Amino acid sequence: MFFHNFKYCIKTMINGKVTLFWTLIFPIALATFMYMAMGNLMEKDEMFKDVKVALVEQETDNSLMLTTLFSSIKGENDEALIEPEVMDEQEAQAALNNDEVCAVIYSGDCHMDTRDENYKTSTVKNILDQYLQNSYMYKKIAEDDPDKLSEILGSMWGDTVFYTEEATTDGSQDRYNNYFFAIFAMSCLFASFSSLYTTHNIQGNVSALGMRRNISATGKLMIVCAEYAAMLMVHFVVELITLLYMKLLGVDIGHKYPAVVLTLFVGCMIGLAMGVIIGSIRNIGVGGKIGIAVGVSMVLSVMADLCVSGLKNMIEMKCPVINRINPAALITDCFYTLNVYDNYNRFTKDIVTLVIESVLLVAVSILIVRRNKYASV
Amino acid sequence: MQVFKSYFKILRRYVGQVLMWLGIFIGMMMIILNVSSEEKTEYTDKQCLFACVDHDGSDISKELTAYLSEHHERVAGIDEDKESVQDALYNRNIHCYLVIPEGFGEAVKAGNADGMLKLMTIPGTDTASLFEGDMNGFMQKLSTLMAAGYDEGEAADIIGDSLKEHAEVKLKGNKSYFSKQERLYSYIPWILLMQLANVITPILMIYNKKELRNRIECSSYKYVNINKELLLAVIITGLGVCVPYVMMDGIMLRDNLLTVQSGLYMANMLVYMLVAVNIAFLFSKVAANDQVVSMLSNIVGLGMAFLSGVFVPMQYLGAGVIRVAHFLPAYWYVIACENIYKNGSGKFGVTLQAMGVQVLFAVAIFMITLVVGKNKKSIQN
Repeated sequence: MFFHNFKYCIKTMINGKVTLFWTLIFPIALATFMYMAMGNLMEKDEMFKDVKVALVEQETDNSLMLTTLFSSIKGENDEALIEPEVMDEQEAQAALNNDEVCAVIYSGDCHMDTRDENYKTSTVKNILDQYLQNSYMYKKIAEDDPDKLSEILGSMWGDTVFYTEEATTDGSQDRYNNYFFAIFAMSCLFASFSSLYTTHNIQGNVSALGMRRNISATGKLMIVCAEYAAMLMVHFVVELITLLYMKLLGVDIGHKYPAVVLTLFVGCMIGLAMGVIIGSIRNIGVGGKIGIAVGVSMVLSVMADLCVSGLKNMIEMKCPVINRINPAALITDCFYTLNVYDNYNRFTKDIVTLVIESVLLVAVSILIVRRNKYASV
Repeated sequence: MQVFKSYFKILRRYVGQVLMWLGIFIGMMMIILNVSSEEKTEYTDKQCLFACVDHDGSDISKELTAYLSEHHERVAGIDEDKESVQDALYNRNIHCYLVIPEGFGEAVKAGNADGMLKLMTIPGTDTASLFEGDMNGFMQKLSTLMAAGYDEGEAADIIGDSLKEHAEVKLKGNKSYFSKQERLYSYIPWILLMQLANVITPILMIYNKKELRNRIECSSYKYVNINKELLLAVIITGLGVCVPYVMMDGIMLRDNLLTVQSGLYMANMLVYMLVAVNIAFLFSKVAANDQVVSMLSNIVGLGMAFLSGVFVPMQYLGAGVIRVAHFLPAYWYVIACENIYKNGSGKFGVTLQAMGVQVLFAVAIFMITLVVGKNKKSIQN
């Protein structure tokens, strides 16, 4: 009887295209749109490279010095980060207006025109400031003790680097990945739609199918276990398809695939458990229960950065306990820790919390629906 | 006007949907408009967020931290352990974490402090470049002056004096800045489509039901009148849905309502409303039930919003995405909005062209809907 219910539950789920749409097609479509719009956002918005500046030569000319100075700013692989190009004023201003350069620098007094106030232009300006301040300092030393000047001249533009840059992780630091992690969380929580129907349909007082089932010889526990196993299997496969798609799309989810797969499995468990508890609410129609499931799933996912990046971090600052219990936040946190941490401590804590929450929700639901007798429905 | 009246009787059922989407939009706008900064006309240097732990405590390390705190924003309360720093960097709570090791001051005096400072950051980012350049520049100046025989205090004073020397910057417009009004109107394509598709489509689907349509068609009521009344009702619905956004413009952004720019924004919104109404009309011909309408509206609405510069500003979209976006009406809506913001009634041709393209989209979608409707009807018959 277990396999009979198991098989028919799978058939019902595959035929019920609505749930499959929201758990498979919608997340895939959303991920595609997000990737097309934001896949390259960190590269464009935050990385300092290929910064083009126009240099306008003037009478008191520092252009050679400035060109050398800008060209000496190198990246990790010794590539030039700033590309200065000497232009006449008209050409330079046109390039600025067409966004071909981020700044126009006049070599005479080193003043700068820009259309943007961001970290790139601030870095370019900082280099100019350093140049002017060093010139001032030279003059000062020359005034105080001209003999010292020749002594220190060599060290001034030397390669002394006082710091060692250290990355804290080998994983991706792209915070826009949070959107994709949240899509996984949303998709897992949308599994609640399936289990909601199942729990609803074993209650004789709210569903016609429930009435039929309550008079059959098969016990409720058997039905629930078979259907829960079937749903878990279907949704887990759905999540694996989404994972494969995102990987093909180019979303960086790290390389710890067994743990990622475990996260999705536990994510499906918590999604289904949420549906079970919502479905067991008495005296509410299926429409109302779907409304509750959609609302709860969406609110929890939005709080885990689905729509506004940084919301989860804001909650972490103001009231971290919410992130410790919000299943969507826990799922995204699993992805985050797998991506950037080199140990599994926090990941394990997140997974254990999700499992405990799933067991608790199912246990409460069993307490609500077990041994219900319907004298008249 | 029986059909017209019956339309609005059915519409009452969907008022909740309109209000729900309106509530979502107001919530989103409150977040977005609150985080929007005011437009600046004068350039100010950007500051990095950094945390610092000083194990040295020497005069040199104190001078360094004082300089950095003056020119950047120091964030307190972040522990030195790797995971805390990692979390803070990932969430951009800080851009850099500086560790000054013990003995740094002495090493600087001895001239062998190369690479001693430990800087945890996201390598290659513009914030890392700015902070590293500024910090290293300060240390280079300090060590040079000390090599010239000045002590730490004198060197810091000279550096302080040298800060008066800086490059003048002229900010010629601010291309990354968009006004709150522009932000408000640029989200309209998404919300308008979601509202109209989820309200108008289910109602039109009721009139498309075979039995009901046959009953109406065999009555004495003229077919032209039915369509005219439905068209009028749909446009009134569209206008009604637009009203709260104009009110939001008036309430949230008080000073702007009676300006030419506002008029142009509203005209652009009304033109897009025609597109959204036609998309809703098309959905009513292809969707089998309310659930399919919800699926279609979400896919089309979110898809257009992401690809057309509604959710992510156009300057960040790739060239390929922009090329695809040319075939989406929301792209032309956003083009019009940007031009209205930047040029007001100037370069009116650009705004007019973008609105014209939207009208063409509305007409094209209408034509497609007629063809789809005709085919569907012939199949049903």
